[in-house]
Amino acid sequence: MAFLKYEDVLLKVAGESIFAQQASINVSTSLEPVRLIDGSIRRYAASNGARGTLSFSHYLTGSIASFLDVTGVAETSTNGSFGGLTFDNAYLKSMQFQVQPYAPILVESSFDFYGSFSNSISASHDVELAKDKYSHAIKSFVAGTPSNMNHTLSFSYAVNAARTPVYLAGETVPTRVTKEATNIQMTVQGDNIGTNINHGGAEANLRCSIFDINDSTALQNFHCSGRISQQELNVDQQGYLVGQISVIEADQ
Amino acid sequence: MKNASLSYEQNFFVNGTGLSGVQSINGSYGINEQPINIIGHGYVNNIINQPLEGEFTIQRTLINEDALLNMTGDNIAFSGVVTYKHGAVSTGSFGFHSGYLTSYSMSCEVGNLPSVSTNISVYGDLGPGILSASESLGLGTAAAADKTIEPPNAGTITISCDELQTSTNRIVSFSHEVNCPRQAVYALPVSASDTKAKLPVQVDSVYPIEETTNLTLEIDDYQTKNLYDYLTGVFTGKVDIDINGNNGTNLASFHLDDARLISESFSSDVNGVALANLTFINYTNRTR
Repeated sequence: MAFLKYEDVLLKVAGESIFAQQASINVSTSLEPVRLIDGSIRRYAASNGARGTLSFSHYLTGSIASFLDVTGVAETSTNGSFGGLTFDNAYLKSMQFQVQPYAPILVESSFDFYGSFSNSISASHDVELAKDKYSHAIKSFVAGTPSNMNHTLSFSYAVNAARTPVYLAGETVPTRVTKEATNIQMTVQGDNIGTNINHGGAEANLRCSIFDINDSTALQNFHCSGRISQQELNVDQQGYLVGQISVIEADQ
Repeated sequence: MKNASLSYEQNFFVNGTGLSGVQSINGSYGINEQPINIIGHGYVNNIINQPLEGEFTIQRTLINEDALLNMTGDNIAFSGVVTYKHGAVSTGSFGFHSGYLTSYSMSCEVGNLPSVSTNISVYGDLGPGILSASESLGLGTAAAADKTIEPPNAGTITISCDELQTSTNRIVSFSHEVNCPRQAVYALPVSASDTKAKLPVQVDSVYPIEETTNLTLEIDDYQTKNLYDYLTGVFTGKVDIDINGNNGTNLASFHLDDARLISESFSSDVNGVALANLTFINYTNRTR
């Protein structure tokens, strides 16, 4: 068969099948053409190691997996497979999601990985992957918003870690990938943002709880305790005046 | 059991008051959901992805004042329920608690009673047993009876439009539609047990409200407009429609000032007379 259908393209990270709706992986090299003075091309030289990105969006079906917790993971790498291709040296870089009324909540995760794939594309699936809880906005909420915000239209949560590869001479795969500045950012849209910002950034302690439609216990709570870094108001024709605040927390 | 509820065993109530002349009712809801398709597995389940809303469509013959005609404005939510029974035994109801009129159209031709079609968007729950005990207390009683029946006739319906020379050309039919679409704003809950978040925070009219009038007249000395005259200024007219009951009570009035002529047609065939059909449109902004 020339093409594999999505049902046969399993994504596994750290040995766990991912309840993902979408996934993509790419690798790129940093090649520079070496031009001689007569204009001819001598060769293509790699100016850096091969680097790729694995990204996928998935429903939360319970507590977030430890290998997807950007603030919790260490520098260590993880491995996985995607459509039969296996990879290692993958490093969690970011995780984000958005919550809007009546909408399912998809969490987008992204890994940097180094090196190349092994094996070849082949069909793979997991019959045990079905779950019965899915992150959804119908009960999910954010607490700790400014008191003058009576109605929350939507909110988003994002956490990003800066990852820097360290190469040793003669190696094409980094010996270490550092985990440096890690920031959590939340934005909340609502009817009234008030006057929350000042030059030092007003303090904000936001907590968002993500629920399944039928459950009364949160699948996962996320926190963002930091400073209000931005506030804005927007209106469009046939629309409403919508306020937005952004809160940033430097976790590391 | 295994009986049926015939049309004369059904009633439709708006805000607890019965509505006479109802010809048909269609109430419905649809649930928008999306499949959860997972890579490496396939279909798992379906999940809701849009607010829960419903619709009602009511066709009525205008035989007295229409309670729904006053619902075209802002913030006018109303309840409605159709009850059904067989014999004297009530067997069920289908209703809503919070409905908003989204369009109201009336049409009439010489020799017939005006017919009215209304569309209602329903926010909030929809189905049986929606109305509270106090709201449904009067349903079916004499206190909930509709207003006196006084159907209009051709002599009690007046339509005038000076620009169409209605004093010398006969209008034989008309239709008038008020479009009043609604915009609902939903917010996230403040806690997992916040049931109010299922309902919209507010429902607003989308302005301008658009009124379209279509007139058909038998031509005596009427002359159509030139199409390219539009380029030097849109043709506007004043259209007045008044419908009274046979006792003189005003049942409905539509007055359009500076209505824009947006289409005009001329037709004729061997078995008839020359007809002109004109469509006017008028926009009403929000009043403050």
